[in-house]
Amino acid sequence: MNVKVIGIGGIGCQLLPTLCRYLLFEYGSGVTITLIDGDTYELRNEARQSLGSSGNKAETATTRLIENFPGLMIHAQGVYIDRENCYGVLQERDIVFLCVDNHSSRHDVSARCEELQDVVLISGGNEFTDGNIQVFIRKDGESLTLPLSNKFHPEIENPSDKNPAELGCDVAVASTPQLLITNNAIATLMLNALYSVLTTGKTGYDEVYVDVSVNRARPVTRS
Amino acid sequence: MAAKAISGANDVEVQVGQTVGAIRLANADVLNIADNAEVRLNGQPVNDEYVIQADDTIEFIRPAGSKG
Repeated sequence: MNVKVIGIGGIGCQLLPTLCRYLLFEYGSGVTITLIDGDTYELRNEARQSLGSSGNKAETATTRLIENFPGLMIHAQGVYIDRENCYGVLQERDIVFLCVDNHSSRHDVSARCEELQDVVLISGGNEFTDGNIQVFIRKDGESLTLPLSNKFHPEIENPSDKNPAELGCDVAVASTPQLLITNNAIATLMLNALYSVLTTGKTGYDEVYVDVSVNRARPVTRS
Repeated sequence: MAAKAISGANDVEVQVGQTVGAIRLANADVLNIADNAEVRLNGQPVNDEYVIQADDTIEFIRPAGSKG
């Protein structure tokens, strides 16, 4: 099983410990996890991110996870995902967790997954107290659910933002504060989706909205 | 008679006979409706002049969360 986690920020840091523990004890040593992020962890990130030391986020998180989960194969790729490199990074039968902070990357990763025959893409994003996850499943060349880029989400279909390789994400984070609790809620929904996919091969929904201020989540089927 | 309006994780009952535009205005805060949110009735787009019928469920499409 090859698992790719793209974006090691607020959501990614909440997702990874549970993901690693679950995969290690349910699926054993045949799991390879690759962490992908070009951003640098700084101590001022520690309010929402638990990487502990300065450096590239993917590399720092990988070092810590290897210490905690020595039975898993965990690798780091210290790059931002973009239209060009996602063709090499994302391969058939991957399970992809997309935890980025821009729609441009969501668009590019979704487009790459549409080309693959078998892939599971679970994407999460949030505002301050609400957000959503989207689940895109390709099986035997057919889409079982909607890609991230679809008519219900023109903001991803025609993104107005930029890939963080072009615009430092520290700037964006500083202008729009995030809530750790919302990051955690999104990570939980993403893991819920993984559990459904691994146990039944499907989710039964295309996306799930959550609003932590009223403690409510709503799965939505659009396909 | 009632109908339902949805946005993101939230929903409210709304009275029939109102326009989508009136519902958007009255429930912008409680439903956390995004600016310029598209509206769909049974998955199909409707405009703000549409008058809500009994048992309709309209959805103000909430954009995907942008941050991570």
